[in-house]
Order: sequence, then C-alpha cells, then structure tokens
Amino acid sequence: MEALDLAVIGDAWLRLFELDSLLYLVLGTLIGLIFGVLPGLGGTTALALMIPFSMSMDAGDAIILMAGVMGVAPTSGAVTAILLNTPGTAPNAATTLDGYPLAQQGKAGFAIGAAAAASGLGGIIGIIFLIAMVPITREIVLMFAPTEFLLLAVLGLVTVSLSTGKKFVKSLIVGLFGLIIASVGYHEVTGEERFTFGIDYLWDGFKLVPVMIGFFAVSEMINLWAKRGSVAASGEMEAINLRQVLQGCLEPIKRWKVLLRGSAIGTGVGALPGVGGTVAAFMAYTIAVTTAKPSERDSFGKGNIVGVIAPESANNAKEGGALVPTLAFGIPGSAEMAVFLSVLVLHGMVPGPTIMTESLDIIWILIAAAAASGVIASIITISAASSIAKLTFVDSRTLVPIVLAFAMIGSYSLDNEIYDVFTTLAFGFVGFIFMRFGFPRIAFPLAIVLGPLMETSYFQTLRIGDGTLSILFDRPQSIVIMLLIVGCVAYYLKGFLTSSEGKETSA
Amino acid sequence: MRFLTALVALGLIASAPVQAAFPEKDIEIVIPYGPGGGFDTLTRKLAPYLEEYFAKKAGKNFNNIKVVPKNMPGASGKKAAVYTSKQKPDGHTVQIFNIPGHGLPYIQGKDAGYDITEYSWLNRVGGDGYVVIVAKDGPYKTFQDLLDKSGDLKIPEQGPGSTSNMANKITWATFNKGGEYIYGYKSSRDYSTAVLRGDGDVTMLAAGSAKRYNKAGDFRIVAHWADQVDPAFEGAVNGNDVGHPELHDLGLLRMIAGPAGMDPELMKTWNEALAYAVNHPDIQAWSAKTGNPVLAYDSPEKTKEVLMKNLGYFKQFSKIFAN
Amino acid sequence: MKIRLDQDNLSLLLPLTAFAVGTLYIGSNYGPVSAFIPFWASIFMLVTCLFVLLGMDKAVDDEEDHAAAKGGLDNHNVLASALWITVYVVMAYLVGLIPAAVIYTFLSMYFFGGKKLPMAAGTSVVLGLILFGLFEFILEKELYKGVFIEGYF
Repeated sequence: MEALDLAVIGDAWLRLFELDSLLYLVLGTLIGLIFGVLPGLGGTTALALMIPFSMSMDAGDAIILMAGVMGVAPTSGAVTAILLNTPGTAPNAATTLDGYPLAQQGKAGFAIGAAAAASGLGGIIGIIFLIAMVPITREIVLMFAPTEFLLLAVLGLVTVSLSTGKKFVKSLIVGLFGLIIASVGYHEVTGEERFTFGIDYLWDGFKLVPVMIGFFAVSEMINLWAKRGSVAASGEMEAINLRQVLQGCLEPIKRWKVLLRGSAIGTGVGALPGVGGTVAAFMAYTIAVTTAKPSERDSFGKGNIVGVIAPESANNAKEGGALVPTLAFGIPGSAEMAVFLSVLVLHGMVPGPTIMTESLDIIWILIAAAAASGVIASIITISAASSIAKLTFVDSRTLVPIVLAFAMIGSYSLDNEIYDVFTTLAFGFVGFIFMRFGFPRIAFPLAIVLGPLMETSYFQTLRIGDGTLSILFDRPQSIVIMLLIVGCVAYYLKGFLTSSEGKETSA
Repeated sequence: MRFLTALVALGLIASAPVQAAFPEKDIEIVIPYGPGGGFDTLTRKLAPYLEEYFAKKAGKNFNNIKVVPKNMPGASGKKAAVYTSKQKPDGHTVQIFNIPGHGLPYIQGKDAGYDITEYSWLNRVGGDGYVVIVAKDGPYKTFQDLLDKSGDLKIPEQGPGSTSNMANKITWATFNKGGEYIYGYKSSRDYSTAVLRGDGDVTMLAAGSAKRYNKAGDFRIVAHWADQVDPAFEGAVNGNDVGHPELHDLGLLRMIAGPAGMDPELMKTWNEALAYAVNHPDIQAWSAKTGNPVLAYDSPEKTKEVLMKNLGYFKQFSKIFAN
Repeated sequence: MKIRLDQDNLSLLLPLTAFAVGTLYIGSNYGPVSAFIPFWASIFMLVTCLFVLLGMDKAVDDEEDHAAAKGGLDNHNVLASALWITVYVVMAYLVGLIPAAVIYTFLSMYFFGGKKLPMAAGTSVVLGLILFGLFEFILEKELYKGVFIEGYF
C-alpha cells in the first residue's frame, strides 16, 4: 500500500516539530479552543476566518494551522456544556445531559477532566481508524447510499427516544415537535415552501445554532435566574482542584470500552457525508445508555460520567472519519471539511481520488497535525479546568447576564442577523417549558438534524428503488442497520420489562 | 497575457486622473453561497489580484484598501442578490453571480425580489460548458445507449433550479427522453458519486468539474456540449454529432455585477480589473492545475451581451422548468 | 394501564395538541412529498399527546419525576425570570448588543443581586470591553448597534 509509505509519514512528523510549524499548530489549537468555548461560533467559523490568512502561507503551514483549528473546538465546547448547560459547539449538546448535572453536584472539574481526556484520546483513536481506512476510503463512500442514510436516521431517532427510559413517550413528543420545526422552510426536493407564512427569514428554515443556543443555554438561564443560587447546588468550591480534574482524566481510560465505542461511532458517522458531529455525539450517548446495565440506566441524565465520555470521544473522533469522504471523493464529511477543502483548492490541490497520489505528503502532515493538536488541546483544557470550573459557584445574578450576553451575541454573529437572537429567545422559552414539565429535551436537536436527512433519503430511496422500499432488503448494508434498529429496541425493551417487573419502589 | 496586462496598465495610467476617487474604502465582493464552494474559491483567489490592480491604478493615493470577500448564503443565492441590488452603485459592492441559476426567476417569469437584467454587469470570470457522464463500469457506453434505454432515465441531481438540473432537463427534452430526477444530493460531487454507486443512470456536470472528478477514471464522459470536444473526453459526442448544435449554448457563467446605476467609467475600471485578475499568470496556472476554467471579456457591454444571450437561450425552455 | 386525566401536564399538552392539529391542517395543503413529514409527525404527535393526556404512560414511580421537574419553582419566579431574560433581548434590539450587555449586567448584579456598586459597575464594564475586544476587534464582526443607529446594514 503506497499510501502507508513510512518515509513520508516519518517526514510529516518531523516537519511538525520544526519551530514555525509548532507555532502554527499551537496558534491554530488556541484559536479552535477559544471559538469552541463561545456559543454560536465553533470550528466552522474559525476555519472560515482563517481562509484569508492561509492564502499567503505555504501549503504545509496552512494545513497545520487549519488542522490545529479543526478538531479542537469540541474539546473546549465541552467546557461550557458542562459548566453552563450551553454547548459551545452543536456536537457538545449531548455532553450537557450528564456534564451539567455533575457541575450542579460540584464536580465540574471531574467532568471537564473526563471530557478533555476523552476528547484527546477520541481524536487520536479517530485518526488511527482513519489510517486503517485509508486504503478503502473509496469503497466505504460507495457503500453508503441514501438507503443507508434513511435507516441510520431512523436508528438515531429511535435510540435517542429509547434512551430516556420511562419518559419514552414524552421524549417522542419532543422529537416529533423537532421534526415539524425542521420542516420549516424551502423543501430541497420539491422546491415548495413549508410553514414560512411569507416571512423571508424562514425561507431557509430555522438555523441549528440559534435554536440550540436557545433550547439549551437560554432555557437554562431562565431556570437559573428563577432558582437563584449558583449552578453548583451542592458540593464545595474547594473540592474543585487539579486532583479532581485528574481523577476525571482517568475515567475514559478506566472505561475504555465506552471510549472505544464512542470513537468508533464518531469515526463511522463522521465518514458519512452530511450526517455530522452532532449526530455522532448523540448516537454515542444513546448507544452508551442502551448498552448500559438496566440498573445503571436511570443514572443517565443525572451525572453519569459515561454520559460525558461517550459523546466527547465521538465528537472528536468524527474529524478523523470526516476525512474519509473528503480525501476519497472531495465530498466534505462535515461543515468544517467543506471549508478545509476550499483551502486545499486555493493552494492548488485537488481533493479527490488522486490526492492520495499527488499530495500524499500534505495529507500526512494534516493527519499528524490533527492528532497532535487534539493532545495539545486536552492538555491546555485540563490545566485550565480547575480555575474555570469554579464558575459553577458564581451567583446567578452575576452569571446569568454574562452567559446571556455571550449566548445572544454568539447567536447573532453566526450570520449577523438580529432575527437569530429572537429565535434564540423563542426557543429558550420552548426549551424551558419542556424542561419544566419534565419532557426530555434530548430528542429535539437530533430530530432537527436527522429529520431533513431522513426525509430526503426517504424520497431518494423511493426513486432509486422505482417507487418501492424493497431496495432496503436487497442491500446487505441496509439489512445490517435494520437488524441494529430491531436489536436496540429489543435489548431496550427487555431491560425495561425485566426492571419494572423486579422493581418495587425506586431507590 | 503579459501584453494584455501591459496594455491594461497603459490604459489605466492614461485614465488615472479621472478615477482617482475610486476606491475610497474597502471593497466588498458578495458571495451568494457558503465558504468552500466553487464560487467562493474563485472569488477568494481573484481578490488579491483585484487589490493589486486597484493599488497600481491609484498609485500613491492607495491607502491599503482591501478587497473583502463576504459570504452571504441563503435562499439559494436570492438573499445575496437582493442585498447587492440595494447597495450604492459606487463600485464598493459587487457580487459574483451564478448564471443561469440567478436568472431562474427571470426565466420563469416569477418575482424574486431582484431583477437580473438590472444590475451593472462588469465582467465574466469563469464558467463552463456541460458534459453528460455515466459510470465507467456501467451498462452505458455511448450517448446513444442512454437514449436507447427503455423507460425513463434515473438522474441524480442536487435540486430543481440548479443550473445542472436545467441542463439535464433541456438535454433530455431535446431528445424526447423522459427523466426521473432523484433530488436531494448535497453537491455536484455527491450526485456524480451517486451515479458511480448506481443510484442513477446518468447526470450532467460542468466540464471542468468532470475533469477534476474524473482523475481516477471512474466516469465515462459520453457527451460534451461544446463546439470542440475537450481532448480529455475521449469518445464523447458533441451537439453536431447528434444533430443538435444549439445544445452548445448550454453553459454556466460566473459573472460579476454591481448594483444598477453604476457610472460607465467605473464599470470599465471594474471590467479591466477583473480581466487583469483573471488573465494574471498565477490565476491561469491555478486554473489549469485545479481544473477551474476562468475567462474574462474586454468590456462590460460584451458581458451584458453574453448574459442576455445565455438567459435568452434558457428562457426558451421555461415551460420545462415550471415546477 | 389505568386511564386518568393527566392534570399536571395539561397546560403543556393542550397547546402541543393544538400545535399538532394546526400543523396537520396547514401541512395537508402541501403537495404529497412536502406534506409527508408534517402529516405523519403531527398525526403521531396527536396520538402520543393523547396517550400522555390520558395518563397511559405513567408507571409506578412517577411521583418523584413530578416533584423533581417542578423543582420547587413557583410560577411567579418563573414568569419573572422569563420576563427579565426578555428584557435583555429588547434592550439589545434598541441600543445594541454590547451596550445592552453592560447595562443589563449592571442592573442584574446591583438591583437584583445586591452586589456593591463598584463590583457591579466594574464587572459590567469589563464584560463590555471583553465583548468589544473579542468580537469587534479580533474577530472583526460588526455587532448589532441598535435600531436607532441609522445607515446600519
């Protein structure tokens, strides 16, 4: 396999340790971290802003800078997800589910440590999977057709609802609500406008980022202000120290199966173009819940560290996966990749099947830089964690206005649209109402992301299959996924039925 | 190329006193799509050379003014078009347009909040003809094979209203061949890969894209609607071969325009700036290497003429696009 | 499964049911492909809302969930909170995002939080400077300056 030429790989790593390369790497990593923390910004914005700078740089340096930015945003995004229930980037939304309860218990340092370690390790595992897949990237991309996307979307939606246990039906309602919200706007397939009521702003539908910021961050701020006090309702500030953080770092290693599974899901889902990090993170989360022992399942959503490790390893591993279709066919596996691709083109490289032969050295520099930046990011996050985690003890009267300012400005800065701020507020109310009535919110973002995919894939599948869905049974890949869906439901129901039979009262 | 550049330089030295006032501040080039696409890449590539041109022209009056690409995606390009139409026609805001894509409302006779014929058309920067592609290992070896297929052709596409979709509809309508469109693919790479995977039989791509995507030889190009079939497309027929030379008018144009009402002298300056950038040796080399065709004209009038010809061609088929 | 009207969740379930009905009604006017998701999603939503409304989803130990969800917050606190959060957005719309952030933070800390004047003022101003420096200066993103500033956009 020429792609795995050791001399080229070795040169790439040596290049990385040259002084100017290291500077670019650290710079890119820092930028990615800062953007990851601020809600509404995230990796894609950072990359897009880097484009003009990169143009005057040498191709290798540009790649190193970009690689530094690319995979790192979810690492710092986890920090705000844990501290303030505000995902720094969309894929961090799943981390809020168990990360925030941990912060409320005064264990923010522990959670951040686990998240940072899971992110760093997940990113590296993702790269390793990527390297393993390099010889067969083409086959992988050609294996997954709209048929499989449809089934994967269904798998995602089904497992996410199941993961909420007794609240399955309420979770489903929230998910269905999400599907309807996601259908607002111009329909790609028919060209028809749905639920826009003549409003220009709604033509493209609701944007994911303002909706998520509102649904999670703003609703949480409403809650916090009404509740008074601080985020950490119990525990002591002094307990947050480096020791607590390092204890957290050990968790992903102790629970290596969760880490590995999460990374595998992240890489796998990342390899499917258009599905993206949010889905990877949520899928990892719900599969972690589904595969947990029935007695442990109830603790999810209340501060189970596995609920932090799974999504965080997935959302960093996904960048490794996202390189698969990007390198094989020039089809971006994620939004960050799309921007990254343009940088490649601006430097005269042509992504596609021949990039492995024409620009192999650049590709290995990219992979080396991505792996290294993940590690650097984790180290930086872990070092700063105990200081940052003390934010959970800041009083609501101080914290809420500050978070609100960042949230609203973050939402606005996405597209410089004041209507995005209104959207954020509106969904803040919606999210809060669901929260107040005990309706699990996890299905909502997944429905918004997967709903359109499911719909488009459904019609594509029909067309490809000449008007019937029989094609689902003709393809081995589809059958495997269908079995997975049935398997998840069965495994889950079994746990549900046996636990309710044997239970008298809850502990 | 160098001669042209020198000529342009002479021209601007001669006309310098008249246009000393422009540019006064940073120039904005609006890109109607998100970062990472063909329009975005081309605009960003050209921007530094436009800066170079304006700097040379203003001489010592030039205050480090930048040409800033600005992404404004939304409503399939409509948002940017409406924004640009509302800006002051002082040359500080221009936009890259997708023709006939942006012209679809005009072609269909619908109102979209902007009138494509009313902008100040400055120059073309790129664009391409179309090719018909199939999978190399598939059952179709020639264009005629496609026509001979019993039943409708299955055609993966991005969505109704994209230029390649219009190209597909016109092509197959010309031969009275039915097409069943599978919409929903995210990009031209995506839907061409779909053909490879077997989701559909055939689709169309811009010629430059086809060259780029076909470096590994996965595709077979069976037709190229151009007067001269590109040598890279061995075995492809063109319009003459199939008795429909008018198909050679099918093409995508990437053009730059400012809001309506720009001063003719200012338009000329912009036209020259764009020609300078496009014809710059660096850009030509990049274009050849990455397969992104670039082309500019020598006057705004010629640009408008080509625009209207393209729109006129597509307007003939407006009934097919009624969706 | 006993059937019993779920009174606690009534104030959410009724609007949700109305939402589903509304979606069904409007969605049915669209073409068959466009109507697909709105139609089925709203139908399922109606069914599931009815299910919950009639108390059919309740298992043995739901009382604990009920208590936890309300979390000891009475409606008065909640309404006041929602209102105050809205005030920020209104302020931002009128005077701009960063000025609103400064004023709002000061008011929150001083009047509602009982913090001392220097502390409240200092924090607000520093926040404003950080926001300005980060967004306008480093990221070069022009932030919303308020509805009174003309010529903007």
